Amino acid sequence: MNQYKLNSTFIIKVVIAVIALFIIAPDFVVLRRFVFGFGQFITPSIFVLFFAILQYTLLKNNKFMALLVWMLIFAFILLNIKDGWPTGLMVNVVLTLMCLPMTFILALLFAVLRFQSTLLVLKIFATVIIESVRGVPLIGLMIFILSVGADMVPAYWMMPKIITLWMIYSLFAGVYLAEVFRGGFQSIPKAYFDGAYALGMSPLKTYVYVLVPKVVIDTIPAAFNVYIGLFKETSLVLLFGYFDLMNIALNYLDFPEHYDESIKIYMMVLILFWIVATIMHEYGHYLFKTFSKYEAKKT
Amino acid sequence: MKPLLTIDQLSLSLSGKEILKDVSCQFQTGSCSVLIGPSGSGKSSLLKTLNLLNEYDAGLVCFNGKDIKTISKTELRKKIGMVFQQYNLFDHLSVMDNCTLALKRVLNLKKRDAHEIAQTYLTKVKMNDYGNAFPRQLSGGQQQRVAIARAMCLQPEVLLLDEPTAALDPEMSFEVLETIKSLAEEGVTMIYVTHEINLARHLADQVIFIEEGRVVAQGDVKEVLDTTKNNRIKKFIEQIEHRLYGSE
Ligand SMILES: Nc1ncnc2c1ncn2[C@@H]1O[C@H](COP(=O)(O)OP(=O)(O)OP(=O)(O)O)[C@@H](O)[C@H]1O
Ligand SMILES: [Mg+2]
Repeated sequence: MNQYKLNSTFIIKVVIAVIALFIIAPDFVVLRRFVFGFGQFITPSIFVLFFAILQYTLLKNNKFMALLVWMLIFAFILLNIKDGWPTGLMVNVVLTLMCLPMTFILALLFAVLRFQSTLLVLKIFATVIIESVRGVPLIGLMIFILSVGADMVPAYWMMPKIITLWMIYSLFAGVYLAEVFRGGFQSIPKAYFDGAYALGMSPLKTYVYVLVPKVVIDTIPAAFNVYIGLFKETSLVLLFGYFDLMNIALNYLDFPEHYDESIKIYMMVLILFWIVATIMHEYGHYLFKTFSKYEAKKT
Repeated sequence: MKPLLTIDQLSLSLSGKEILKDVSCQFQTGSCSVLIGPSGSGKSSLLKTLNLLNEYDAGLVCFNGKDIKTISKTELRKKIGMVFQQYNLFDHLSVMDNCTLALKRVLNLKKRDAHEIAQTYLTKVKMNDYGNAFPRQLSGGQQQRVAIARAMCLQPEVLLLDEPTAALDPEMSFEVLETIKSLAEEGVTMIYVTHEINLARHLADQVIFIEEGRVVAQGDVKEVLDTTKNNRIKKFIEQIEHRLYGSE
């Protein structure tokens, strides 16, 4: 069986990156502010705890609990959003984690709607959404919403900025992921449909209990590409005035006494992004190894 | 006795190509019928028509005296199980999950009951030790036996078997055959596609010979296989036995 082992090159890579960070950073306070922003440590710690529980429910394959924990995380984020939090790298991380489940659900929905051929109207709807969102740059969409979106909706409809961002990012990453999933559906042999139908399963049940689980597992590596892309794109929230990692760095460099540190600061920013992206990649690898046991060849 | 399943002047085309033409035959309750014929003659297509995986254009198929098009597909497929030529197991589900899937999702049984039923049938096909294995970790014969158990879990009245022993060595095909025989003794009606004449002799109450989508001959084993006057069938049988037993 494929058992996941923590990859030693992964550990070495991350350790080297962290050491490099400490060497490069002008002082620890700056590094701390880049990661946690102006907030304190407690909120992020609780956050990490929640995530650990989420991980556990996932491993136990308890989908209901996983959803519940995710909703708790979401509520926790909303309750805690204030001026000081999240800031720094936490903005990018929090926003990514908020978006992941919604991205996943939207993508699955669009992929199935576009793949099936019974409900024609919904198929066209999904196709139009996917192709139009995929065809425009994210930054264009954001500036559009930022500059004219506020005028288009009545004031009592205005949402907290983070919710707007959450929706934009989920939709954007969702359509990319939908295409990944659709590829997965297309590679399913017809034998799966025949096999399920011959057991008396309806098309809907076939999707829910046979096809979706297979596609989700098979596309984990490709899906994590999309998730990592999503994480990196979250640096665009500086357009919305968020003090994410990138913005904090730019802000820091605005002071004349920091002018000569710009190379160091930019390198720190890149290394921090790189560390998170690498951890995400490894996590995807781990999930794939854990859930694709069936790929194991005979020994 | 009234036949359980009757086919009357059935014709079928797939993507504009005529596959079955004017096929008529009957299957008695508890009998074992063997379909033989050259590759591409439409045997698999005929089986898939019986549980409506293929939609036929003309003719009438009756199950228990009822037109199968008037029975809901789920009900029909619960009563007419199928084992495919390529097994069609779900690779990402364990052997046990393959077997319990329909019990849980179609019959809505509790997990434990489904488990119990699946275990019974896995034991019958001697695969009870492999519940946690995945199909790709099994040999062809083992997969085939799991496929049979999976179909039997729904306790169908008719079992359609599409060349269940084609990919197996003689020993293993003997094993699968024993399994099938024991199921036949339980009164399950079998419709069985095979190229192996000896199996047909061994097992069949009725033999149906199909060529190019038409029924060329049908009757009991002796009639069709041994005393036939049809040259085409003689040649087909000779060739198969030739291939199996060399040319002395
Ligand atoms: N979905 C399909 N669309 C078009 N033609 C098809 C389709 N399925 C099967 N056919 C054609 O129908 C004919 C009969 O196929 P079928 O699989 O029923 O043969 P068979 O008797 O089972 O052969 P074998 O012994 O090799 O399994 C073949 O000529 C095949 O090309
Ligand atoms: Mg066939």
